Amino acid sequence: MSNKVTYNEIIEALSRAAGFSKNNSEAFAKALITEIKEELQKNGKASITNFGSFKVKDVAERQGQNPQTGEPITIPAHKRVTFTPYKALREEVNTKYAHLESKLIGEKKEKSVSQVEDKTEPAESETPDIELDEVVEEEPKAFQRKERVRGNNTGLIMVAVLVLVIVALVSAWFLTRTDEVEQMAGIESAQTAQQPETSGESEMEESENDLDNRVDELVAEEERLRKQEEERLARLEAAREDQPQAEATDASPMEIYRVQQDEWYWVISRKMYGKAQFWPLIFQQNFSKDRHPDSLEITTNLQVPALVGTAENPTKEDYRKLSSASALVSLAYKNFGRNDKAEEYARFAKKWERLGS
Amino acid sequence: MTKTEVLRKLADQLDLTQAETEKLYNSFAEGLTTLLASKRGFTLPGLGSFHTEVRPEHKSYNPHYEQMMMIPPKKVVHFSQSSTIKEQINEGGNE
Repeated sequence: MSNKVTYNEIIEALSRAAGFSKNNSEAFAKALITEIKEELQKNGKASITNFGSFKVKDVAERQGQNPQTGEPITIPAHKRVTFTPYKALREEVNTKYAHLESKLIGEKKEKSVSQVEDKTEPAESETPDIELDEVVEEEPKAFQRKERVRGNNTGLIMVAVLVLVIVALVSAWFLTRTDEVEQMAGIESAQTAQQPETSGESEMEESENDLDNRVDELVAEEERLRKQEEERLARLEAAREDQPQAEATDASPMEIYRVQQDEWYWVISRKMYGKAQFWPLIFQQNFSKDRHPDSLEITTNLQVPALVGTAENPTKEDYRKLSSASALVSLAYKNFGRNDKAEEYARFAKKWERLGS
Repeated sequence: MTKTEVLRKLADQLDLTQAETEKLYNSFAEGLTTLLASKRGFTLPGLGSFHTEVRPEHKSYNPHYEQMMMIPPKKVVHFSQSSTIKEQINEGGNE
C-alpha cells in the first residue's frame, strides 16, 4: 500500500526525534522487537508502554475451505499473536469520530421530560375540584400505559369523556342550585357530603338518569385512582425514610422525572446530567430494597438530585456522593446475585472516593 | 515484564544509559502512535504490521439496555502477525 511507511523511515524518524545516531536507533528498535518476541514466546504476553499489548492466543481447530478449489479442509489448532491497542492509542487514532455516540434505535418520539419542582405530595388542602382534575389528568395516562403498553386510544377517549362529564355535572349542579336554592338546601343537608353530585342529579329530570349512572361509575373510578395515587405517595415517602443519605441530600434542589418506556437509569442520567456514569445518584435517591438497578417500572416518578458542581466539572462533594451511591449500587447488585457487576461498582466507588478526597 | 525491566535489559545490551534508552523507547512508541493517527500503516520486521481501518456504522445488541443500538463509525488499529513470528510461536507450542 502506498501509505505504508517503511522500516527505514521509522528508524530515521526515531533518530531525529530522540537525537541519536541512526545506528543506535536501529539497534534499539531491533533489540526492542527481539525483546518482545522473546517475551511472547516465554510468557505469551508482551507490551509496549503507551502503545499496546501483544498476546499469544490459542485458536481452536476448525473447518475451512480451500479458497481456490472449494475443497473442505481442516485447519489445525494453532496459536496466533493478537494486538490490543491501549487507550491512549485508541483515542489518538479515533479522534475524528470521537464525538459520535451510540444511540438507541427504538426511539420513536421525543420523550417529554416533565420537570417539576420538588413536591412529592400534591397539596391536600387545595379545593377538591382542582385536585380531582389533576388526578384525572395524570393518573389515567399512567394507568393506560401500565395496563396496555401498546398505544391504545380507548383509555384516552375515556379520560376525555370523564373530564367532559365532570364539567357538565358541575355546571348542572350550579344551575339547579341557583334555581331552587331552598329545596336544594334541605336535600343537601340530608345527603352525605361525599356525593353532592348525586344529590344535584336526583333533582334533575328523569331523562338524565342514565347519565347519572355513568357519573356514579366514573366517580367510583376516580376514587380508585386517587387511592392508588395516595398509596404510591405513601410508599415513596416510606422508601425515603428508609434511606438516611437521601435525607441528607434533601436540602439540595431536586427534580422529578417520570420514567418512560425503554428507559433505564443510564438513559435518564444522560438526559438529566449529560453523563450516563452518574446514574447511581438517581438510584440512591430512589432506593428501596427490592429495586433492581437494571430495571425500572414505567411511569415511576424518580427524584433526580441536583449536582453541586456541573457534570463536566463535578465538585468533591459530588464525587463523594457518587462514591456512596456506587457503593449502594454494588450492594444492590450483590443482593440480586450479580457479583460481577457488584465488583465493578465497588471499583467505581473507590475511584470516585479518590477523586473526592 | 515491566517497562523498567525492559529498559534495564536494553540499556545493557546497547551500551546506553537507562535514561537514554527510555528516551528512545518513548519516542519510538510516540512515533508509532502518530503514524497510526495519521492513517499510515507500517511493519515492524519479525513482529507484524499495523494499519488503521474505519469500522463502519452498524447495529449491535447492547446487553445493558437489552436492545439494539446504532454504533457509530470508529477508527480502529489492525494488527497482523508476521509469518516469522507465526512459525516461531507455533513450533514452540507443538513440541
